[in-house]
Amino acid sequence: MLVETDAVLKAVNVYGEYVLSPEISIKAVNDVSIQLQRNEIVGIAGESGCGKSTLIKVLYGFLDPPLTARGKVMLGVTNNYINILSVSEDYRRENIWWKNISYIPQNSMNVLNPFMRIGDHFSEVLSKHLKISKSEAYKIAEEYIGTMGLRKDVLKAFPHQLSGGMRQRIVVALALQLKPSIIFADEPTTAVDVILQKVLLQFLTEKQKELQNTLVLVTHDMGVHAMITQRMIVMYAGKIIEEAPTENLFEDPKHPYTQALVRSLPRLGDESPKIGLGGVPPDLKNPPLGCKFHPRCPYAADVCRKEEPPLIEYEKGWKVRCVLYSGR
Amino acid sequence: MPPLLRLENVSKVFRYGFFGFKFKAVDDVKIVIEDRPMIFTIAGESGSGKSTLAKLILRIYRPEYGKILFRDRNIYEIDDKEFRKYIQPIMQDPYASFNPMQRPIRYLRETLVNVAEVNDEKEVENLMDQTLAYVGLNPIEVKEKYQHEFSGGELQRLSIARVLLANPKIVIADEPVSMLDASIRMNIINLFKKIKDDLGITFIYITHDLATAYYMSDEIAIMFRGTVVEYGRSRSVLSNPLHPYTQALQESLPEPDTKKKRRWMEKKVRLGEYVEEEEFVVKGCKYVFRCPYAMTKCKTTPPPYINMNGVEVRCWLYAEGDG
Repeated sequence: MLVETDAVLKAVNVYGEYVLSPEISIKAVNDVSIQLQRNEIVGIAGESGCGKSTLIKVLYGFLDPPLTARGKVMLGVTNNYINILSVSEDYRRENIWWKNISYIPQNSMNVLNPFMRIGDHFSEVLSKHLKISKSEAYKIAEEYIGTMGLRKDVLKAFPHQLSGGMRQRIVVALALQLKPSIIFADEPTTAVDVILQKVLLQFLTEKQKELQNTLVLVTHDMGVHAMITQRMIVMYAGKIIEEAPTENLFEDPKHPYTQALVRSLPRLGDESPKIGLGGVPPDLKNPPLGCKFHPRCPYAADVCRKEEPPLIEYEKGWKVRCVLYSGR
Repeated sequence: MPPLLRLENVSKVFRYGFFGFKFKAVDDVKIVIEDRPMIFTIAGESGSGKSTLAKLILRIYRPEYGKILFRDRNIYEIDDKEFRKYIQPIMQDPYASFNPMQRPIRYLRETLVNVAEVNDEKEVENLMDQTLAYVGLNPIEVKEKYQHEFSGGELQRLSIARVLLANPKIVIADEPVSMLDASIRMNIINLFKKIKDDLGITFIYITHDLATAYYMSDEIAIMFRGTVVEYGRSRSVLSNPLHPYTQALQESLPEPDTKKKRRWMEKKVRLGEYVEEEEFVVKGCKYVFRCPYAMTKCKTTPPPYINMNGVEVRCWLYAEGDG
């Protein structure tokens, strides 16, 4: 396959499905295609149950049953593309995870092994991937931790001896230590107070700038998207409904759902009345026909109830899934 | 007229472990809520003691020191039945508020009979229908459904309907919208504002979300490690914060406004060396380990409540004379 532009990852018609029984399956990710470029910060937004976390699990290739995935996730590796979904899990573990893609899970402050010192977390990953001895790895870790702006003695500590914010920075440092080209972060700062959140987000973006890699940030917090991301993908009921540069999305959202979402957000110093959206997101076991948003949409027409609208290019780099823009 | 609710130097001590590492989850809190309809926010991060304070007002915990007065009566001198008529809670988790084995409507009916003491069956049904319609639910549908058939937003509306049936003076809402999605959240918040205006109920809104606090509340108290560091009119506290902690909070808050991006990114947060346990037990100001203006006095003596143009702030920076 030809390498075009700077895409580090290309997902084509990806599905992520939770098969609960032969009859019941939940399509959490439903026919999603995206491209990630080198050196950008992408945000994935949406409400709980919209499939944003499942999407990055699929892109990362972390498929725990009952999650199954279909489609192509092409990862750019030295002038070549590998389909993450078609290689074995052992291959992903040895050659892709940590080295090419890292994943920072939700509740990142609680993912460290409580029986292992921080330093052993680092040296384990290093020795496995670089095929060096533990003591050599430890030395590299010591040097590395200094470059991350952390003190060397944290390596000797157990996770419980560190504060939550420190543990989160350790997890970020771990995810970055093999200089991956893509980092997926799933709600990395929920359950942290806003001050620590800012420290962590600034830490993440600083490191992104240094490594010039791709950071994909999944969060429902629109404030975080506005402050951090350059480009945004908004999901609803397993589908991408809008994809746009962050600034455009906040200033002039196109999809009725994005419009309602952005306009409902309260801000400091803003006293204008805000209105929420009626209804609830659809049940993914039994989604509505046509546009998934039509039961809540103020502009719903007959065609919306029958046909799923395609993702239309509104402008360069700005896509919307809504019939309102199909006549252009 | 006496204030609706007054907290006088209220403290609650918790103990960790057998040998008792003691700390004050709520430490010397003084708040006055005047007797007029308003939304009073208690804001703070996790571990700030805001939920403990709510539980103290609800009599779930008993304070070790200090008094809580409802219209100048100590809440512990009011009998249970009367107390329930004055103060009612709305909980955070809408799914845990109702018994899954029974229809939620039963809980509403019981509230009417037991708390509001309405015994006429026709009136019970009437009041229920009215209130359910008022909070935006269809009474006929609600009566047939079980808890699992409702969405989170609908359950929270049901909790609000239940509270309204009790017809209290004060409603304590502990993070009532934190489990709801952003698009639904505003509807519930607008409902609170409407109830305040229509029915004259005072809300004590407990949250960590400063943006919704700014949007809905009249007054706000900012808590840190059990102490109230600043309180007053929310516009003033959140637009021109006085306490260094409130300032740090306001500067760190990511806002859904891309125009503020540059300022937010450029302004770095200074995070001093601190240990959470130490912050709880320090004698003076709890913020001293992180404060950029910390003085020696801050560590040893707790700052008093200082009135600055109607805003109460606990910080030595604003003390006159020897400040």
